[in-house]
Amino acid sequence: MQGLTRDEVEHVADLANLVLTEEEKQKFSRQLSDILADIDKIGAAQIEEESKILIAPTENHDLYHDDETVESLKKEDIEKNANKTSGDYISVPKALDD
Amino acid sequence: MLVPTIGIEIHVELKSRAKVFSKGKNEFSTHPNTNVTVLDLGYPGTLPQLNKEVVNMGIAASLAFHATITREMHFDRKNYFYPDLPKGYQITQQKTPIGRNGYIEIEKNGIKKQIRIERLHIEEDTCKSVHTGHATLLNFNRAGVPLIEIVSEPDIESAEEAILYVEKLREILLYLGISDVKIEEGSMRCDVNVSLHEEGQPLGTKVEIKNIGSISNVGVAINYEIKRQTELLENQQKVIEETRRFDDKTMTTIAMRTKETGNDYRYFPEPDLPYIHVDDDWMKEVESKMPIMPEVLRKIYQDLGVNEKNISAIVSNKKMCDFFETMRKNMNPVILSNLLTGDIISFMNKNALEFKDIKLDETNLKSFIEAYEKNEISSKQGKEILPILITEGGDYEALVKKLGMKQISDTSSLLELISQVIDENPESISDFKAGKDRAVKYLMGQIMKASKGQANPALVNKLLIEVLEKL
Repeated sequence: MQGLTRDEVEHVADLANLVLTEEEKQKFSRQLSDILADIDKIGAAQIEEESKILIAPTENHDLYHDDETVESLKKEDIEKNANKTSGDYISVPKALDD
Repeated sequence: MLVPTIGIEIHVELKSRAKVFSKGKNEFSTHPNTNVTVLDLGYPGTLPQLNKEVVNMGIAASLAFHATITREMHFDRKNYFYPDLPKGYQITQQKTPIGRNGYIEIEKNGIKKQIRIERLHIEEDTCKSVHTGHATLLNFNRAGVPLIEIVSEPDIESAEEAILYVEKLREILLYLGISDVKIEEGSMRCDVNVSLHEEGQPLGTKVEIKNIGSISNVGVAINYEIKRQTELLENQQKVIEETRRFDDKTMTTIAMRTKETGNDYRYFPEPDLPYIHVDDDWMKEVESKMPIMPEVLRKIYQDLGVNEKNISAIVSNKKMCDFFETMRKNMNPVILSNLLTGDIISFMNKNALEFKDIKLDETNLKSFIEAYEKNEISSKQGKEILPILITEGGDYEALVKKLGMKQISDTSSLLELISQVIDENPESISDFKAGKDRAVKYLMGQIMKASKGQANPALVNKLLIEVLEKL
């Protein structure tokens, strides 16, 4: 497995709105490459029946709720977990990219 | 020659009681953040649980659009960074959409055309953001509302076909009763992809148009985009792959942002939700509860002898169609369709009445139509009776008696009236014998007058001539 390039690290950081220092870019490039190498080991595993590969990592299936509703969280509780509110809204720094 | 290729992606909000992955209420509220749970707000440590009713609705929609149901499904995460999605990803179905390879049939100038549907998938709606001067304000009532996205193949070739497709799709969803499908209120959203290419050449660069707020503007946006791209290409300029928004003030499209490639969403399977298996029994159960689809109703009404104009008027109005369906089995469907699309609906429109407000019921409407069929009442009398039945209801016979309106169609009573009038008008008999046609008209008038307008005119005419000819 080829390591992650510096450009790829920058691209992923950009998608996650992260600003990285030159040092961090090198460090994450190394760490992410190690992670990908480990994942490649999984891909190399010999599996007899492909249909047995679990995409959702649980053998449970078909668990649903039956369209019943619960009461909403109270305004005070919502406010506790918001940095800033404005009237009934949660307020965040202006998102320009509309 | 440049040819347009158009594909449409439609998001539809489903009318389940609860949201798709939480038990928050799926209800419109004028107060922000009053229908939210910890899941809708994306709090860490919360786990989604799929609402079964949403899957039922997805199966129904897939069946209605003739799509193949995916029997083993999972969800995927679509990752992107934006405040309308605090957990950093949208739960959607990238790999295993609930329905694939469906179609909708449209009809233009009597020619039928299938617009293929590539896929239908379930996903969660994001929260609604309001941008003010310095901040973005978030309302999570919409977060987690179930959506079905319906993606067409690029089979649409004009704005006109696009409108027909959207109208047909809307009609089907309305009949299924799984969505309000109100484009003006956002419960249905249309994104349109338009590209142009020289005939016989590969497809051109596609431009996506969002924010189209009405069905007619789908057509306006497409025509504008065709014109804009044609001008660019004719001037040897390039069309840029981008997302544009429709601006309803200028009726034009405006560039929004350079489109991120699919890869940037870094889709991966949602590990918090287990697999879904749809077996034959589940499908059959959903199918058994599905209402009759409009295309099937059209066929039934044609077979009943209802004319095309009435069929279109009835089927395109779901509430009128429900009314027609309840009534038609017990009475003459052709007369019913004429009355419903004529006198009944025009009276209702004039008086701002809805079907839930009107007092016509199976019994009085049936009696009315039978009387009409047997010529017991004239159409003029009908126009007086019907508004009363619509607004007040009640027993038909009693009403007719009260109004003294019953048409006399009983031959012996009519013959009695005829002989009485003939006895009183000997000159008219001489005139008739002398070949003067107006004598018949005069006598008709006298008979109608003597019957206080209640004699069946067609029958009187027939009997009168018979009597006169025997004299």
